[in-house]
Amino acid sequence: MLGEFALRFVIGGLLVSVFAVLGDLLRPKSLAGVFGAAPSVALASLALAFITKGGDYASVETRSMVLGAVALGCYGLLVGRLLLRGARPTLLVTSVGLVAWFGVALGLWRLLLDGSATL
Amino acid sequence: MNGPLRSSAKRERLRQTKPREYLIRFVFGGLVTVGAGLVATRWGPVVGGLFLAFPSILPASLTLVSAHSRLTGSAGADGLGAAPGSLGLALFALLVWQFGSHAPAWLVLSLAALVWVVVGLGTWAACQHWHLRRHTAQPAGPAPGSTPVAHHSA
Repeated sequence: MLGEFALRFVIGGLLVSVFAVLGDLLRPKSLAGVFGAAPSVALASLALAFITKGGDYASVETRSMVLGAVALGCYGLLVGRLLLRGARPTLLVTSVGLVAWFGVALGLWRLLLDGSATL
Repeated sequence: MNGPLRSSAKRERLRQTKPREYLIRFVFGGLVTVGAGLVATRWGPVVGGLFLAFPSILPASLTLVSAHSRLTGSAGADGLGAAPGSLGLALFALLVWQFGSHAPAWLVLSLAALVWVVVGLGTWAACQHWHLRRHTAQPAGPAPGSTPVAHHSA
């Protein structure tokens, strides 16, 4: 169990770093921002899920991930607009955005998936 | 391409990022991946799946961009770029959801990643094109319905 989480940490960290470097290379910044929504955590987690728990488990996870991606889009639009209007400090704006992500993701989950079958 | 549609990739830009900042992203990315796994272990894959689209890299990236440029405009543009990326991410998830049980993992994940790249970058380009057309189509004079500005001479 501990070994799996250590592996998860290394693969997730590496994938996030690779996509971050790709984002750093690109201009304009809005193009670099596309890589901020890269499937880095998803690729690491799903690869391990396929190996250890099978395709059915990965399918159930990705059904919820669709809702998480909608919340991520809302996060990008909200934080991007606030920062373009000069809202500061950036750390506070991104933290408020995370609260919005939780609100949208959990709200959609409650509305659409709460009570659905789990594996 | 000209104007806002012009994009570029330069290796020199990597030197703007300090080694400490790469380490922060690695640790943050690793922790979010472990966190997503812990949530799935505790509350099951339905709740855990939400966290596969958690903004893992954006908060750290936007804060670093803002610190580098000393202006929040660059960070704002970076944040807005995540919206087309998240559309690609939703389709990535949709593809794995539909075919994850029936096809080999490597094939499903590779195709889903390809879909993310095409949809994310394609939507970004379409948004830029629309934005450019909207701005170039606007007449140089005052917008209809706007109050004309009076010029007073001394």
